[in-house]
Amino acid sequence: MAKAAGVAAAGFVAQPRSLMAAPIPSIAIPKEVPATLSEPAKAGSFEGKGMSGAEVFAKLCKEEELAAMFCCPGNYTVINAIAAAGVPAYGGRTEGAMCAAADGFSRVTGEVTACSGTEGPGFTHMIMNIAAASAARTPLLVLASNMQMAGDDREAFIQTGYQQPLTEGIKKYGKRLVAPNRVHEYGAYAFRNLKGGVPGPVHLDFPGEVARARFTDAGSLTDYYGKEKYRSESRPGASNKEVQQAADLISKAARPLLIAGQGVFQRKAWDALKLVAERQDIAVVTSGPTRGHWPDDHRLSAACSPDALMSADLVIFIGQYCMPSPGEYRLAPEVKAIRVHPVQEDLGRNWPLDLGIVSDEKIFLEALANALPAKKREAWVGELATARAAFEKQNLDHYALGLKHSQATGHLHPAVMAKEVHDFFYKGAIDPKQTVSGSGGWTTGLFASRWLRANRPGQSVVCAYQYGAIGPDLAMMIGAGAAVQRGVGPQAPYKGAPALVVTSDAGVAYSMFELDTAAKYKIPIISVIYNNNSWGMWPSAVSSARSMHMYLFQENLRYDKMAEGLGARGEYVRTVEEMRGALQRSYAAAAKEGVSTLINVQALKEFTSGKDYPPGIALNAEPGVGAFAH
Amino acid sequence: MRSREWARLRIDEVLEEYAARGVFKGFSKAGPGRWKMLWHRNREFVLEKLTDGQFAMPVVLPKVPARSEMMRAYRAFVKGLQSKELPEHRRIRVKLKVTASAGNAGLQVEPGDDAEYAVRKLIQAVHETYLVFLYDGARYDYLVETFDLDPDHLA
Ligand SMILES: Cc1ncc(C[n+]2csc(CCOP(=O)(O)OP(=O)(O)O)c2C)c(N)n1
Ligand SMILES: [Mg+2]
Repeated sequence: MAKAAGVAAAGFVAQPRSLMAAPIPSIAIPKEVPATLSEPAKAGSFEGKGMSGAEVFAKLCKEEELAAMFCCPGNYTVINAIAAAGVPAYGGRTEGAMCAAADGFSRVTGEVTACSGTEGPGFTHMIMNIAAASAARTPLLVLASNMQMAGDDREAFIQTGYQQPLTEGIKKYGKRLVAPNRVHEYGAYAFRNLKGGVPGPVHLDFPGEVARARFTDAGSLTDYYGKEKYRSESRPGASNKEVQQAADLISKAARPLLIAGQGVFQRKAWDALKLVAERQDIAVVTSGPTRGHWPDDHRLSAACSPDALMSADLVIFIGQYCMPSPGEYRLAPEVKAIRVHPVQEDLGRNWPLDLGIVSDEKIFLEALANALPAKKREAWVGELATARAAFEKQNLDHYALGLKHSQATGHLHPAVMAKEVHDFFYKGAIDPKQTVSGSGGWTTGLFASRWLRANRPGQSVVCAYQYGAIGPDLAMMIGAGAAVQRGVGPQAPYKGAPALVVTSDAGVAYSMFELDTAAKYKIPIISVIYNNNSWGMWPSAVSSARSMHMYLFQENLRYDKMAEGLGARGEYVRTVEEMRGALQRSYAAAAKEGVSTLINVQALKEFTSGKDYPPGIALNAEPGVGAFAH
Repeated sequence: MRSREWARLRIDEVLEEYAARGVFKGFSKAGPGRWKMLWHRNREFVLEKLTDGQFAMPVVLPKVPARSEMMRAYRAFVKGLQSKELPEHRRIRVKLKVTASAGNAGLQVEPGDDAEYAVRKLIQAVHETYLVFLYDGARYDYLVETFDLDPDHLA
């Protein structure tokens, strides 16, 4: 060994100087990054040159406690003003991924976040993830501007286009600001929509004439007053009679099931939910893009008890913003239904109701907790426990089969990958309430979600919730990780902890460059990538001529090496032992050095097939840990 | 023993109730002793009252050959719905059997002395077929081949 090194060194010395390659510099974070991140905030003021339209808007965003902005450069006037105003700002590699990151930050905190890109191309790149945020009812402020109205219809230079029609159907509210002096007025419109009722994306576009307009006093700005005047914190509440009707139905039911939707999380109503459920031994399962506002490890949780769902004789939907139809949830055909929702128009949509109540989730749950007589339901609690044990046994059976397949093929089965992740994050030295996680991908997501847990509010993200987009996951969880680094809202007790994402080879292609962003901002994420060399629904091509090639990638791609090229760590895994070692090293690097890792789990696409590799892929019951549609 | 007429009217009402609960997306009476419902996977299901008084749904799962592994698994599943090990409220206590005809798996139930109960349990069994039986990994290929299932076309 020493000799070989000596030979190599001799060869090196013998090279003429001109042919010697300069040493390759290491990946480094430019010094301007920490320097500018630590600069004090500097909001605009009417003094001197006055405030730009962008600064007026930024000041309002800061006063509204906009929790974070994720962007790519473009829309410079606006993003600079928002960053300068003191809103935590992150600049990344693609607008689409930044939009997903903003969504992820919001999904684990319930806070309003923003994303931004340049007017034409940056904005259109965000579309998939604006739609995903809309399906998830995320309070996301979408900003994209730079062009001038002066260029409209002339195709003046580049990038002109009408934005608003492009978000038709995927926003709650949108407006192109036209009159510069109404910039504050429309900021108020934006936050009324973001913070009231059922949230959803708000899309504002600022032509240059508005963003760059200057104001030296408040006189010409319309509706220039504070949030306590332009919006209200008042929420609808159920009448005493309605609360009593609900309490009666619940008390009469033998096996009530409470479905705590995202409204319970948005309204931070988990304490009231606990009072209600424990008062009468009501089973609870969460639904929506975030999990954990009812802990999976609670004795009343039905999240891991799919066999018991069909036994419920009354279901109470609270804050279920995106309603399924009866055949989409594993509930009995005769189950009675109560739905509590903050806006009247949605009551009765998709799911016929025995009782519909317009109410804020928190107000309702607090009132219900007072109206419900205490009651024990031992048989029902026992049934939940039996079903939980059956689910856990089934998972373990799948793991045993997966282990056999892994040993036989030298490739890691998804059941093994998922269980190893589970054991490491919930069964070992790490607090099982700590790690924020999310999953995506098809086979990947179906297996991973059966094993990921949410034991406290905001602990888990259903990345593909409702829209079913492949790809946003890694970026979404980097955004969630940013919230954990800052300790925002329910993440406060776990401030600084690493985040986790389990996603697929198809999915990682959409987001992987954001490992650069994670490194730049020191957001440690452990990303477990299930690499089965394919888009997982390749079985759809089996019986069709000339089709399979469209579903396959090159085999054995090295996502771990790509991650290294982006300043993260890479791990390559094919066996259970390698997986355990990789998790340990990745976690240590994340927790101690704030460094992210991509674990490339090499698998075979054929693991999808139930004939060759039982159990194949089982669909997951909804609602519950594996749900992603509703 | 309830009158035959009472039982007939009551079955209409019972099925209408499922439609009003949104369980069936569409429902109509298709003649004497024959009902049609738009239900799982947006497919039309037909329920018939046979001349011997039994209720039958000849096509619950299309394209399941009589002697296939899937047919055997389905029979076992339906038997499981009647198991004594199930909690009382889940157990189907009526003679419910799987039929195999024209390459399809169906269900047939004897009304006993309570036709309403029998029909309700048949509806429950179909519901569990689609929401439990077909969710098993072993049925994934069937879902792809029969219903064009893919991740974007699940329900
Ligand atoms: C952006 C996007 N493109 C395509 C699809 C359609 N689709 C749904 S699942 C899937 C396969 C995904 O493959 P992968 O995520 O690698 O899953 P796995 O291989 O683990 O099954 C596809 C193409 C989608 N939902 N979203
Ligand atoms: Mg794949």
